[in-house]
This record gives sequence, C-alpha cells and structure tokens, in this order.
Amino acid sequence: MPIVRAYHHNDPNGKGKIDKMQRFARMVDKIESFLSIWLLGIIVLLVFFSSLLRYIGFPINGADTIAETLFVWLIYIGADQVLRKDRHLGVDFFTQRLPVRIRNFISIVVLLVMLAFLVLVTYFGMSLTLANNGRILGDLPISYSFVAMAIPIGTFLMCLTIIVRILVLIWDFKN
Amino acid sequence: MLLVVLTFIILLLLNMPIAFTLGISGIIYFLTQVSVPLPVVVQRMITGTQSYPLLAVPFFILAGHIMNASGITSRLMKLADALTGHLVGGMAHVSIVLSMLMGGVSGSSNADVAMQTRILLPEMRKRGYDDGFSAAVLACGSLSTAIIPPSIGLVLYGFVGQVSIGKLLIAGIIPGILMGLIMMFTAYIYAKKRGYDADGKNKKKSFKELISAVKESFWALLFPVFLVMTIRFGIFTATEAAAFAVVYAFLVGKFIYRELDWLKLKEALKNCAEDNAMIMLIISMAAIISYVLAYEKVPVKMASFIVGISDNPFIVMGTIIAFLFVAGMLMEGTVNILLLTPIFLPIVTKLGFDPVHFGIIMAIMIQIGGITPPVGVNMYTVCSLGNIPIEDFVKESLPFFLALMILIAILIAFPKLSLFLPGLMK
Amino acid sequence: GKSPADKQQDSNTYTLKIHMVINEQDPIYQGYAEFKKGVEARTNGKVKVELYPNGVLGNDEDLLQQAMLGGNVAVNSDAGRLGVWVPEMGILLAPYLTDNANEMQKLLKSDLVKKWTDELAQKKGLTVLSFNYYAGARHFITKKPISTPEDLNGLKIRTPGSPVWQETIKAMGATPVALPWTETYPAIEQGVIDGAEAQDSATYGAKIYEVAKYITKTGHIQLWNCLVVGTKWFEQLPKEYQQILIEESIKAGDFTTNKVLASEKELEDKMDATGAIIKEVDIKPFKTKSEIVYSKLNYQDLRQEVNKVLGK
Ligand code: NA
Ligand code: NA
Repeated sequence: MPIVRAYHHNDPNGKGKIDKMQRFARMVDKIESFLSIWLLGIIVLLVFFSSLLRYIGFPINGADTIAETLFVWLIYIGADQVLRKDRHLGVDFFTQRLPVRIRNFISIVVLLVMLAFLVLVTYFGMSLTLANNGRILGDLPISYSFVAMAIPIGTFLMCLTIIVRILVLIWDFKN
Repeated sequence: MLLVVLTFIILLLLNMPIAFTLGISGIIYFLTQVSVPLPVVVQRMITGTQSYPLLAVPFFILAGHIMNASGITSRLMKLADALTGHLVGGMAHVSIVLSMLMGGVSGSSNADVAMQTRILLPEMRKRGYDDGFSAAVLACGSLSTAIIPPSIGLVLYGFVGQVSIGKLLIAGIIPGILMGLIMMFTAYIYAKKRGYDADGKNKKKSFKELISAVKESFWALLFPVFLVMTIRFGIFTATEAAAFAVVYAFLVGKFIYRELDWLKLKEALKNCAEDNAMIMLIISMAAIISYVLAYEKVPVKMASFIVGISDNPFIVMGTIIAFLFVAGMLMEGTVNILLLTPIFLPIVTKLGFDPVHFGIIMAIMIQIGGITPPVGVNMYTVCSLGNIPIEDFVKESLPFFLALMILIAILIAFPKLSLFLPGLMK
Repeated sequence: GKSPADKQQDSNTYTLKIHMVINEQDPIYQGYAEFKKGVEARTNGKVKVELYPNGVLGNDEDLLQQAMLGGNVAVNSDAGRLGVWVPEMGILLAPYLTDNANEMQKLLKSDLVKKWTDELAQKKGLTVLSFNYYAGARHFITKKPISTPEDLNGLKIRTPGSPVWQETIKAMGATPVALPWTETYPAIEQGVIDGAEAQDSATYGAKIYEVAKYITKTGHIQLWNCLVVGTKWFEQLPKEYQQILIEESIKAGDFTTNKVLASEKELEDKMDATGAIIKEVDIKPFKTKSEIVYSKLNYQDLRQEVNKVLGK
C-alpha cells in the first residue's frame, strides 16, 4: 500500500482525520529513513575499520558488539518501513483467489491479530528492558537494556503503522 | 505443539506475513507453556539478530545495490551477449550467463529474476519465445546467482549450523558454475527443438568486441575474485570481506565508473536497509520457534526418526532431499534454512557427510523451493511481472527442474565438486 | 507439621532443563548425567532433569537471564559470567590464584565464596547449587611454539570476554581477542587469530589442535564451573527437593572433578597421537608477568583474604 493516498469521498471530517494520520505517517517514515541510512552506513564503516585495524595488529575488542547492537536497531526501524510499504513477504496464493470483499475482511482480521501480537511484544519488551538486572553487553560496560529497547520501540512503531492501515482499510471497506 | 503448528498453517494461508506467522505461533507456545516466562520471547527476538556472521547479509545486499546503481548490469549484459548471444536459443543463454555474472556481485537470486524479467522478457517475446519457456529460463536460470559467491543462503546456513562461512562461499563456486552450464544445456536442447533464435541472425561477436565487453566490466568481474581471494588467504572473515566488498563497490562506482552519486548511494542504503529488515525480521521471529523446537527436543526426535528409516547414508540423504523438496514447495527459503539446518545437519555429519558439502546441497534445494508451486518466490516474481500463468510456468520449468535434480545427485555422489576448492584453504 | 509447599510435593512434578554449551563427550556433561540420575531416583521422578548440550537453547547470558526471570532452566556457568553481578567472584579466574586443584577446591568450599554466592542468590536471583565442577587448567594452544612470555608478544589469542581473562592474556604479552568459542576453530584456520587458551577437554572437544598444534601447559587459570538455577524457581520447590538438588549437584561436581583429573593424561596422549606438540614450561616467568593483573583490577585486598582462607 502506498504511503500517500488521495481520498475522494463525501465526509470532510473523516478525510481530514485520514490526511492528518497520513501526514504523521510520512513524518515518521522520514525520520526512520534517515536513521536507517545512517545506522547501516555506520555499521559498515565500523566493521570495515575494525577489521582493518585487527589486520594490522590493533584489534579493538567490542567493535563487533557495537555493530551487533546497532544492527538490531537497524532491523526493527527498517521493519516498520517495510510494514508501511506492505513489503513483508507473505503467501497470497490462496487469498488472491477469494472475492475482494472477503479478502479485505481477512486483511483486517490479519492486521488485528498482528496488532495484538505487537502490543504483547511491546509490553514484554518493555518489561525485559526494565528488568534486565545489571546484564551487560559482552565485555563492554554498556547495559543490555540498550539492545533490548530496540524491540519494544520497533514494535510500538509497527503498532502505529498497523492502526493507520486498519483505519484506512475500514474506510475503504465502508465506501 | 500441535496448536503451534495449526496456528502456523492457518496464519500462513491467510496471507499473514511470514515473519509474523513465525512470531505469533511461537508466542502461542509461550502463552500455553507456563514454565517459560514471556519476556523470553523478546529475548529470543534479540538474540536471533545478535551475530557477527549475520552482518555479512546486509553487506552483500548493499554491495549489490551499489554495484547496480553504478551501472554494472548493462555492462555485464553486454558481456553475456558477446559470449553467448549468437548460440541457438541465444536470449536464453544471455539470461543464464548474465545470472552467473551477476552471481559474482549479488547474493540472492530474487532481485536478479525481477531485473531480468523487466529487461529480457520483452526481447524474448519479440523473438518468438513461448512465455512459459521464457519464464522458466528466467526463474530457473537465475538460481546460480545464489550459489556463486556471495551467497546469502550459504551465509545463513553457516550462521545457523556454525560452519565456516568462508569455506561455504568458496565451495559454491564450482557447483554454481555447473548449475549455470546445466541450465544452458537444457535451454539449448529446447531452443533447438522449437527453433528459438535458430536462424543464425545473431552474428557471433568479433574477438575485439568481446575484449571490449570484458574491459568494460573488468571491475565488476574482479569483484568476486577479490572477495574469494581475501577469504581464501585468511585475510578476512566472510563478514569483514563483505564490509570490504561494500567499500570496493563504492570506490568502483564513484571513481572508476563515475556513475554513483550521493543521491544514488543514499537510495542504495535505504533499499538495503529495507531488504535487510525483511530478511532479518524473519530471522528474528524464527528464533522464537527455534527455541520452542529445541525446548521440545524436536531435532533429537526427528533425527532418531530419520535414522530409524535406514542407516545407509545415501538412503538417509535421499529422505532428507525429499523432505527439503516438500518443505521448499510449501515454505519460504530463509525459514527452511533456519528451521531445518539444526535438524538435518547433525544427522548427515554423523553419517560422514561434510557440513560444507551438505551446505551446498541444502542451498540448492532451497533455491529449487523458489521455483516450485504453490509457494515459490522466484516463480511469483517472474509470473507476476511478466503476467504469465503459473500453469505455463510449471509445465515449462519441468525439464529445468529435472536437470537441477540430476545436478543434486551428481553433487551428492561427487563431494569433491564442492570440497575441492575449500580444501585448498589451509 | 508440614508446610503447604511440603504437602504439595506428592502431586506436583517439576522439570529442570540444564543448558550447557559443551558437547556430550565433555566430562562436565557426564557429571550432569549423574546429577540427572541421582535427582530423578531420589525424588521418584517428581523432579525431572533434562540435559541440553551444544548450546541448543541459546547463549549463557540469555539462559542466566531466563533463570532470573523464573524459568525452569539451569545453567552450567563460571566465575567470569557471574562476576558481572558479583564482581568479587571474578578473582576466582585471576592468574595463578592457587597452585593446584586441591587449593581451589578448598577455596570454593570456604565461607568467603559462600558469601558471594549468597549475595548472588538474594540480590540477583541466581542460586548456585554447587561450585565444584572442575573443567581443567587453561593452557595456550598456538600455531607457533611458546616457551617464554616473550613468545606470546604480538600473538592474537582468543579468550572469553570477561575483564580478568582479557587482562591476564594482555599481561602475559599477547593480544586478547574475544570470540565465541564455536568461532575459534575457523578463526585460527583462516589466520584471523594466532591461537587460543583453553582447558584440555575443550581443546580436544573442538579439535583446536588440528589448526594450532602447540599446546603449552601454562595452567594460568584454573577453570571451575558451577550449576546455577533461578532463585525464584528454586524457592517454589519443596524444601526436601531443594536439599536433594544441592546434595546431588555436589556429588556430580566431585564426580566430574575426579574424572577430569584422571583423564587429563589420556586426552593429552590422544592429541599427541594426532601430531599435537604438548609441552611443559617453566611457569615462573608467566606468573611474574601476570602479577600485574591483581593491581590493575584492584584485587590486592581480596587476594589477601583468599590467601588467609588457603592458609598462605
Ligand atoms: Na552470488
Ligand atoms: Na516452492
């Protein structure tokens, strides 16, 4: 589903709400884009320079741990972008044979199930982040919470994305 | 456990994204199995991604994107055309050879299929190739891209099975090239029978033209050589080599081909971040299911079941191949590697197969899964982009599929084909 | 009278899943197999013990965290990992802290160590069932022969990530590289690192001697493992079962220790037969060079306490 959609219908109020939501989604998308580009760039350079230094005899312990830590952030921020563009791989072999109305209904059900899952993960992700009990990353004095936090934040963003999608779908369904 | 399997199947059928299907069926187990605290689900999602070897995946994807943004594709296509354009079934060969050449820069076959369908399918139609045949050539012919290093499938296999990724990548060279050649052979027979590009209209390119095509794509051709050499001589691990590959691709694109600007680089980074997230979210969620399988000792139970069938290594291997084939029909490749490697690898190593050897066989079987109905990513790509009925594709891809199965048999019977090159690594 | 928890014990069954990254051939695995037999026999199968070798459930840190969260998992751990929570424990891995296995055994049974494990149980939610599984003395396994600390200069040596370990290797002259144990073999083979330091059973199990054939018996660290469960899970067990778990773990630890001490020579002979070169060295210069670790990590006072326990 494209991020930007034009809505031509009779309800000016509803249209305004959807537009507002989509403007918000666009802003989140921009921030995420910026973050993922930089995260990926930094990870590449980090691995590049740390291996160069190791090769000439000056290994920096912990560079790989930092790269891995940034990696989980890269993944979960990127996952929200992929979700917004509806690019997460699925199997539509069976659903595509169904009539459009049933298909849309199934889409809404699937999105609601995903939302429930994401809410659960956000909740338990937060509790893991908060309850990590002094665990540190490998040999670095950095709290494990910094890694753990990527998941609830990523899944929370995905919750928002799904809510927008559900509302848009319901809107389509009604009209 | 039954509930987990049922949830999995139902959600998959409802077109729930695979990553979420894995995550939700995994969390179902934690919700019903009280002895494991729920935050462990999130812990598994984190741990599933925290691996240095895994970083090679986005790096290889990024290097491929940067190379493409630098105009590598058109250069390699010219070379493929100069090499094979004049043969009977010329366009089919160009497509297969292009896949092999692209294999040296790209780590997965799917992007290759999409690109080739857009570029080559119109030309094949113009020259009178049947749509089904074209689709089969494009989808099956592209599989060698994923076996010739770099290869994302082999990185994932090495990651899950704790097998040297460097060795696996190097082991893919000969089987990947053989795969391309066997596809060309099959395409040739069919083209001859049906008279595709058989009128000799496409003249053989002169030696000069060939040399100029090689020259133009020199830096792209050097890319896999550079990659293999740094790994081969122990200068870098596969992950480090992948990071260097990104830097190499950038330097070539920016300073030699001069087609890469900052905007294109930004675009490549953004696309890579998305491709990466797509694959890694699956890996992250699959870690929940992997834990459930280990917790329930499924690999151990499966192993004793399969070994119970026979203790003849070739019968066991045949059973595993059959299993991989069925799994490949129904499931997406990444998931199959993640969930099945820990089950099958210990079985085959106990029977005396080399983990690197089995990695190659597994990677090819996973690729075959991409062209078999009902679930096949490459098949979907070519059929939907080309608007070709899946039935036509299935009918015409049968000979290519059989050729691939013969290749599998040959690779099982002659381990040296896979193990000779990595054996030189000490 | 019986407490409510004790009355329940007839109907309730419990399962404990022991996680370890070692494989089935390791003497410590065999120790846990004894533990399983003992516990299941004495509780009439009411406490079931399942073994998960090869790290199939995940990594040590994750599993320790699962135990903290109340999961029914136990972890084969060591002072390095637990030192993250109770820093004093790190000294158990300090170089040449004791002169032999007997001394270390005495130390581990002392009130000093008990103070640390009590703190771990009460404040951090990890209960040590027993701290007496001997893994072995750590030696260097390198591509080049080693006879003095100077030979280690510039070599990249794989060690676990904990600070004591890193400092020890650094003090001796080598460059420590923290890598997962499973990546050690390919890393040496590809020339990414020059060697590792490990106890014989680990070296043998991971076949490190195939890619680095010089084993130099420096014995710089005495590695002892412990069996750790979550305090939350442990305390919901009937008292009687808690006692059985502790007793059986001590028994299994002693079983393991005797086995390791007895099989050391056999393992070295086996590795020797494949072409590995195992050499005793004068450990004095190694000892002198690694002395600095104690001051670097502020272990001087703690060391006095340890020496008092050992009567030195
Ligand atoms: Na490739
Ligand atoms: Na398939």
